Formats: sequence, structure tokens, C-alpha cells
Amino acid sequence: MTKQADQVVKETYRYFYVDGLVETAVGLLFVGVGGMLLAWMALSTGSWLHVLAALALPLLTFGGGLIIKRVVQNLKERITYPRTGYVAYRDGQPGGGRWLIVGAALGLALLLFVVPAWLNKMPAVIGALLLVILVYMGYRVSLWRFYLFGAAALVLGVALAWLLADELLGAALTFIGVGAVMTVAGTAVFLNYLRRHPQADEAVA
Amino acid sequence: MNETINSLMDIDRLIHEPARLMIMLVLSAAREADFLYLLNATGLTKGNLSVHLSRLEEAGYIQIDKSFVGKTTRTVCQITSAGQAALAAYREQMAGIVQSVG
Repeated sequence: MTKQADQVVKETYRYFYVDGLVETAVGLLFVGVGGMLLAWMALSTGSWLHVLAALALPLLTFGGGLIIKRVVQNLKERITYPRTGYVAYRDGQPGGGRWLIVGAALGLALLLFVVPAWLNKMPAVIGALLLVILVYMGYRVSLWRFYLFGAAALVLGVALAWLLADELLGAALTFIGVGAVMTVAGTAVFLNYLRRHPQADEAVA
Repeated sequence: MNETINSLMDIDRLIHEPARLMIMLVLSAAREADFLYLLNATGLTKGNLSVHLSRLEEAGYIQIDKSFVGKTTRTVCQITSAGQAALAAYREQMAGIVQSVG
């Protein structure tokens, strides 16, 4: 009862991430995007599969976000809400990073247009972009593991930009690496959540 | 100092009670939340939480809806626009009091 008002509000926002399902799903999406990039690179230029992979990439990125939202909501309905309760948020909550993500993407596009040489450092640029987004999300809800995800993205992006000559391969591996880190961490959080909150026997009302 | 005392007398006592304040804060951060979540977030007993929710509902600060999800009932609470306004006024009033005292 001695909690600060802001702390109560942040705890309510943080509840969205309590089960690790969001990170796991977003991590899998990143792995999918990275995998699709690798597939696109592996396919011979001009083949119909190459064109298909190029079309599938934006579809996977944007459509994947919508699919994730539905899947995560469905899983929360079955797993999280019966255990620790149901909370629905207003649009833009709790991460509130929608406009930051749009802004960061536009900023990145502008940066690459103004300084095309940075295209050669694509993995580092992607790592920096993910750092900004993840750190902001972590700050919004006071969740330290998002800072770690952001740091992992930057370190991985810079390392791959340094080590690999092929910037597209580096970008793909950055997505896969960050996605893997998020998926593993999210799964660990999920298993810990299940251990701490066994299924309630009775309905509470 | 007289003004501070007057402000204290005018404070919304319905929200000023710590348990109800916490409920209002939780509901202000979300679109809606169910009984089980509020139970965990506030640390109150079921009986206590029910009483506080009823008082807030009577005042028109929150809206309570019951529905079935599968075979279980879900009691969902939502802060009303009157509740949002009352909470905002309370926070402003408290900030003013703290400022004038400190």
C-alpha cells in the first residue's frame, strides 16, 4: 500500500510482458525475417522464388505483427488471464512505441539516403535502431531485460558489420541473433511464470 | 497554511483511501482489468476488494461488468470518464498540498 502512484501505473503496463509471450513471439518474427533474408540471398537472381521471397519479406514483417498480436492475445486468454488476471490496454499502450518505431524507420531511411556509405554498415545501423526501440520500450515499463535485448542488438550488429563483408548477410544474422536472444529469454520468462503461477482451481469473481 | 488545511478538507475521501486509490490508478493505466488482476495488484482480500469496488461503482467512478469466459465468470472493471476526472483532480490537489507544505 506504500507504492508510488507511478510505480502502480508502470506495474500495470509491465503486466503485458509478465509471461514472456510477447518477446518470444517478436523474437520468432525477427528470426523469420532474418531467415527470409537469407533465403532471398540464397536464391538465384531473377528466379520466381527470388521474386516471391522479396515479396514475402515485407508481408512477413508487417503481416507477422498482426498475426503475433492475435496469437499472443489467444495464448494470454488461455494461459495468463486464468492465472493472474486479465488486463486490456488502450491503443498505443503499454509499449507506446508505435510512433517511435515509425520515426526510427523513417530516420534510418533518411540517414541511408543522405549517407549511402552507411549501407555498408547495415548490421550496425539495424543494431542501433533496435537498441533505440528496445531501450525505449524497457524505459516505458521499467523492464530491464529490454535493455539487455537492446545491448545485444547493438553488440551483434556492430560485430557483424565489422566481421562480415556482406552487409545483407550481416543484417540477416543480426535479426536472427537478436530474435534468438529474445525467444530464449521470453521462453525462460514464460516457464518461470508457469512455475510461479500454477493454474487456479476455481474461478474468482 | 490556512489554504492548505482547506485543500485537505476538500480532498476526495473516496479516492484518498489507499486501497481505492490503488484500484483507481491501476484502472487509469488500463482500458479494463478483471477482479483477479486487481486482487493480485492490490494485495487485498476478495471481500475487501469487493467492498471497495462497490463503493467506487456507486460513486460512478468505475463501471463493473460480469461476463462468462468458458465456464468461469469474469468481473471486469473500467474507469469511467467521471473517475478519470476525479483522479486527475485528486492528483492535482495532492501535488498542490505537497508543494505548499514542502
